[in-house]
Amino acid sequence: MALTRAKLEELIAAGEIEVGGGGVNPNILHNWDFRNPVNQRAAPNNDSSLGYKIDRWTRTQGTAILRYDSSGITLDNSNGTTNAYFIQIIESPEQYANETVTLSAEIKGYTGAPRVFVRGTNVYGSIIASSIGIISSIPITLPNDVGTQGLGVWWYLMPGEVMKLSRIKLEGGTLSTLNVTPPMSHAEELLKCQRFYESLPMIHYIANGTSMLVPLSLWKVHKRVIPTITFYSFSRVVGGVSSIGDSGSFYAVSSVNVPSTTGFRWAVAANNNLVSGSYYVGQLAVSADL
Amino acid sequence: MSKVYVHTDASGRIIAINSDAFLPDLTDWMQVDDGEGDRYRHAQGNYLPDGLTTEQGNYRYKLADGQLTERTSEEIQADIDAMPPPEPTAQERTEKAAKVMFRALAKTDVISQQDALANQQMFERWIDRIDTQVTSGEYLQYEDGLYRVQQTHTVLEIYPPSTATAALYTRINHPDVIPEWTQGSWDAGVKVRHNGKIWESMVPNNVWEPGSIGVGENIWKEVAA
Repeated sequence: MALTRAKLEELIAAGEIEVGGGGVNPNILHNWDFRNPVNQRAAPNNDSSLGYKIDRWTRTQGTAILRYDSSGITLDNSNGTTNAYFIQIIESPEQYANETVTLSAEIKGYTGAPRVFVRGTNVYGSIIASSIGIISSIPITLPNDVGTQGLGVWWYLMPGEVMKLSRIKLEGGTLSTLNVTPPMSHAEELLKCQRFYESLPMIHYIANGTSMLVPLSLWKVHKRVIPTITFYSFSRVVGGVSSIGDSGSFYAVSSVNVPSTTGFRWAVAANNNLVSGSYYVGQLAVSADL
Repeated sequence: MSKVYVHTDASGRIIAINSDAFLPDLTDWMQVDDGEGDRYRHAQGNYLPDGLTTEQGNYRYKLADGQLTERTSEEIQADIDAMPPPEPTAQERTEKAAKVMFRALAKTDVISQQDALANQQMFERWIDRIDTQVTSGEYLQYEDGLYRVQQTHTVLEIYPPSTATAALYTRINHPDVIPEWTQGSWDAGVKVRHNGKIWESMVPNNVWEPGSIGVGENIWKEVAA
């Protein structure tokens, strides 16, 4: 029997055939799947400190506790006395001027009425945790001056509130496609995140003199702007094995020469005790975070 | 809002710059500015218009009366002038030791004249020894040749190696090269051409003309080529 259009529609109506919803929009947000997020900083569990935690997301206010587990991230402001925020700042907001976007999040748990905002100086739109499951916003048309105001997605919790999310999405258009979005590709998101921050556990150097370290390997992903470089350690390689520096001291870096979005030429060690011609290894972090 | 901090050395040179976003301890750091955006947050690489150092590693800026100020070219040049010479590499040290040993062995004839000639780049240049004492047996390079010091003396610029100073220097020639005899002092064993014949000097400091009346074979001996 030929498969006619009428027969096809009959089968669909009977549930014999499932039909897809027409495609998945890309997520404007990075590192959006909190079940297995990119976490180059190894941000600790049950932590209330401020600053960048998992990649691209930063705590800017409050004493709420951030917790991770396999089903998502919880921001617990139950004992807080001020509002608590967990924010991703979106790069180049001006390109979204007058665009319509939709915010959605998968709520795994909540206490009170925590919110997720799309905002800059002003709030452009929001969702309120009011039930478990995927909650999406009404379409949000971003203002013409979003480039000046800024654009970010904020977890926004007042004192006493708690919220757990497994996924979050900001996408173009008027509909949420979070429900048909496959799990985040960790590898793909790692590369996106590394444009903003990269942790390099082992960089090799050669000492060119007693105070100058010349890197032999640099970061692979170009940074969005000349980054801030933080050196965490050096140790001299002796006989192929890295060991503590000759005096057991940490060679603090006093300056970095000609940094760029891809690397730097040399670092000046502060204590002038390097062994010229020797090899060193060390850990550093490269931040171009917004 | 990000705050920009600098760290100076004892002379007021700014040797580091960063923002409060990346400085857990602000001891010995001084705030110079604040603002929004990458220039302030990532001040380490973005705040100073020309970078913290020159490409040669000299610090461009100083803190004067609490103000971040660009250092003058004279100040930077003074830093360059005060820099110690670079440490020799392991290869340079090895090469230097090899030259010292080679020269000592050549001076004492452990190394033959012809081997010395074949490795004349191991020896010092005569021009670098002006106003210094050279000792008998040393070898010196001069222009394209290699010369051996005949007697200990202080090198003077007006008396370079030549046949006119044969009492001081003897040119070491390749055995296949037989120079034309000229008036001067010739070492024992040297061969010269003169009047169509080849002569071998039988004595050191030989100032006689080969084949002239009264100059016998005990002074200049005619030999085959």
